[in-house]
Amino acid sequence: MALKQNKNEEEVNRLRDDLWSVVSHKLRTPLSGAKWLVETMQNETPGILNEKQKAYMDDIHKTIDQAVALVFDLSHMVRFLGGMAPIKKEPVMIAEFFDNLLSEAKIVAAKYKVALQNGLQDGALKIETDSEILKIILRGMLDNAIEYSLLDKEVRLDAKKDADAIIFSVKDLGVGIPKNEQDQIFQRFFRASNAKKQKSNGTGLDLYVMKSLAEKIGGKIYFESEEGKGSVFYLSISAV
Amino acid sequence: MSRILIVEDEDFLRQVMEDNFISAGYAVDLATDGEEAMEQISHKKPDLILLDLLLPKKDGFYVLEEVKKSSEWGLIPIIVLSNLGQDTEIKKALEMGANDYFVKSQHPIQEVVERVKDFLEGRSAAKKRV
Repeated sequence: MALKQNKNEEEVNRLRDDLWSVVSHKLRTPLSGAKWLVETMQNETPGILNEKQKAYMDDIHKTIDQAVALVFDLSHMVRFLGGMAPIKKEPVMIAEFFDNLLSEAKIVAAKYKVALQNGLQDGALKIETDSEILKIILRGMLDNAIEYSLLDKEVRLDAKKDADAIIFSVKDLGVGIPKNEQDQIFQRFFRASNAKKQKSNGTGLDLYVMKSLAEKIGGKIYFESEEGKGSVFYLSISAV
Repeated sequence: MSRILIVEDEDFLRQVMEDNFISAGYAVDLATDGEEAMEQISHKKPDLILLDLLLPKKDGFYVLEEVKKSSEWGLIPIIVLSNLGQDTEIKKALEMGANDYFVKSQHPIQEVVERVKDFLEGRSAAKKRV
């Protein structure tokens, strides 16, 4: 009886995994097509646009980016928080990991005219954790820091060993989070009032997903922030 | 003029890629599935292949394997353009010899064009982009 129940559960899990894989891929395909079509129009490859058409194209592009971000956030929720993907524990060399992460974030940083700094001093620092989840969290922190930065400022990625934990941090000199909104920042769909002005197309899910993912790998996220001066987001993971 | 083979089963994606690469000064050949891609490669050797992974008949992994094991075609750069964005798929494609990997919805088309230029002008090393 128990064996049959386990088999049924396995079958349901397999069907759910297949369904989600198809759904997320099928959602991304039209979105990427629409995004590239709009970009081709914005580059004026098919012909010159007037100012009104340019403004509409910018709005459509932002809307598509928002939908793409939503699919990614949902994908991470279903895969890792819904128990679809197993949580791994693998050695991660932080210096190499940071090089890849910063290299990938360079394009977004250039778009927002933000300089990326690598503050890592201990080249031998390593940790055993799920590298894909670590990457999602730190890339999310970096993207937020870049997008909420002020022009020509820098964003600094760092990691240090502290007692039995590794503390990762991402520091920006951006808009910061208003004091009276700080305790709501990890709530689903919450967006700080000044964040909405800086980036109108955020999903309000990314910090919630990052915090939940951090808990999945036995870590925690916290921050210090001052409105108008910037924020530092921390991810602490046990190194034992 | 460098020749690019675009392997993509979605009509509108194939069309928008073709427009951008012709506009950037490349000759473009098109294939809609893995079998057609192999026929095109045998018929007219491309300088670079842009390869989707989920394709009818034979998929992109099949094309990747056939091209990379061939003594005649093995050095043709292959850039994977897919919406499969999990680390396992990216690792698999890179281990099979893909020279780069873009998750389509995450990157502007112009970035893909620039990356192709890097490869064809010899400025590039293998790298994944997710």
